[in-house]
Amino acid sequence: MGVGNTILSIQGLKVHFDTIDGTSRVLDDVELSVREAEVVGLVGETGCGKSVTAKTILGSLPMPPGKILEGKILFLKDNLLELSREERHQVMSRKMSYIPQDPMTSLNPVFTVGEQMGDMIRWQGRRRIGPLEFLRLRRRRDNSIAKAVELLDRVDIPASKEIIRRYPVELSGGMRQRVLIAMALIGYPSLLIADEPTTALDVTIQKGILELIEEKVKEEQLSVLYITHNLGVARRLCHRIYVMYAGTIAETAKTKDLLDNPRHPYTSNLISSIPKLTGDEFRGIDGRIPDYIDPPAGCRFHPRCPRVMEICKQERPELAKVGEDRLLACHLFSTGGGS
Amino acid sequence: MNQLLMKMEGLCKYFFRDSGLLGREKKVIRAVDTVDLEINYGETLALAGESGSGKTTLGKTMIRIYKPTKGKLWFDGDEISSIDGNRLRHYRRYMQMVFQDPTSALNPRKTVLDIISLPLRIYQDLSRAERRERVKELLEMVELPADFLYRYPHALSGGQKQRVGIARALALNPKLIVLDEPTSALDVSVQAKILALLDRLREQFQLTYIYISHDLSVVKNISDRTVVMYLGQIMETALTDDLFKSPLHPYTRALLSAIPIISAEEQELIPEEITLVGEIPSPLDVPPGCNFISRCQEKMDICDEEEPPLAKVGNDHYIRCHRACPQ
Repeated sequence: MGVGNTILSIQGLKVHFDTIDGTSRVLDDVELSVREAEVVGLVGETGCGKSVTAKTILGSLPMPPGKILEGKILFLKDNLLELSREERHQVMSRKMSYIPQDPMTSLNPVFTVGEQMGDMIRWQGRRRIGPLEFLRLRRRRDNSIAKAVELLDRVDIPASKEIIRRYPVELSGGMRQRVLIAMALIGYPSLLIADEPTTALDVTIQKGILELIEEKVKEEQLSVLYITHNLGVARRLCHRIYVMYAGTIAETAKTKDLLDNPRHPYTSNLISSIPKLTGDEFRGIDGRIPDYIDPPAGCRFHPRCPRVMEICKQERPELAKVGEDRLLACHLFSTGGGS
Repeated sequence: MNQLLMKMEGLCKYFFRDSGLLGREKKVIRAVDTVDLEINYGETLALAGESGSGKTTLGKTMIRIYKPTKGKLWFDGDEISSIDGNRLRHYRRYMQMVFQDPTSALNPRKTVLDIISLPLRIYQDLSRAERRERVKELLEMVELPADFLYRYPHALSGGQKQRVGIARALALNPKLIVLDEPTSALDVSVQAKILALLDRLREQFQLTYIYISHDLSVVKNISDRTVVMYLGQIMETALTDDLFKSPLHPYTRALLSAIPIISAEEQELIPEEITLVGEIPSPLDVPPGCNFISRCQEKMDICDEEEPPLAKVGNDHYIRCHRACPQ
């Protein structure tokens, strides 16, 4: 892993949603960074704000009801939140791409794979074009088909010439996910955001997809923000992991450090919830993710935390540097706190 | 000690699909293909395999939600493979099921009380008050507070819904419960709680579980015996500890090596990496010879021609592979 420059940096991001019942305070001071050629995992349970984070970065958050209160998203030296739509599109269209979660519904069922890929190849990075250019580009079909075949070969799809004539329903889940990855790689992006791309797939197929992503990261010096709820998948793929709980970052460290030596009570409880092949006892976490309309004061994890202290109920712990390469938001480890 | 609860001999479940002109041809989907299996009282048997391997269909055929196409099925010494109507109803109460998706398994228009008391209304002659008492008891067993009685499913979390599903399955004191991926829709922190609950209930009521799962880490932790299925057939079956210690079938080894694990200690317990080529073939055109042939990396000439039998290779260890059985 080459420790390069920071390519994506999120600082103090706060996102709220207006709902009928009140304001839902979903993201609360999220800090996150991805360096060049680094695979970063964002791990957490259902409803902890992983996908909202991804959507905010991609600018696909529905607003309203969502609103970004404060924070910065720095991508390649631009603050994405300060750019106009047009400028943002310019910056992001080729440099950032996205692999969606559900391969079953993310492709258009009425066009063949080749047509969909051809469209992306021809129109990528363009937002508004005049009629003349439209006509000129529309004719470049042959060229784009050849490029689609080449892209499918890049993601190890066998018989790619055959596949581009097929409709998405004729492909299996694993194949569709490969097509989506191929589409994400079209413009040789610098940052790939993957939102649980293997959750819908069997373990054997998942393994193939993970190997493919690993290979692309090496070959093309990709940076990846990989969102998942599966720590095992994160361990395999990621250099560094962020653990998210109820819209806040609980802990981040290098993968091995985090898994072998978790500090935050949520991280360690999450790890001990996973059934292991060693047959070690596994136990869950009592309670459930809090209501975002009225989140607990202080640390959002305190109602479920087995090591809760008085201060946790009043004061929100800051995400602070603890040791090398580790950030932690927990009063147990802040200066003056316990152990 | 090892008293037989259920026995299957050559159990098959085929589905038929019309094809050809005006549907004159019938295509056969062999969802469950000649399964021989014995289940003992009080054991937890896991059915493992990829999606499309026939694990759920086998589970449903076992408890006669589906009628077997061929083969015989015994429950508690009685043959139940072809009975119908009232005679079948008599057995149904002893065989219950917990479904994969807790949200679609509960009627959104009914309260928890209605949902759990439905089996009691069908099978037992109880007054309304007695039923409510029984439902309260059941809620306590699955560790839900009594004030959940009048709630609707939408007001419950995934884990709580699954607990209601378990309470409903327990209502008639069954002997056998088929658990169809009961935790696959839940987060790990909730999954651990549900698995602990299931384990406690099994001891308390001497239940027998059929646990259907694609998650081998869960299988390893909760089952006594494991059956690995592929395209409707049993590929390998053994005591869970033996299967994880010495997996023999290439498919089992591939499955094990694909488990996403989280520690170095676990890494030592899985076989060296095998990446399967391709995907599970369509059950409409199963390859001749061994079912696994299209993805197997250790195939021999004989595998193309002959389907391997399920052969005994050790104590309670059976495998369907030409490599493992003596020629």
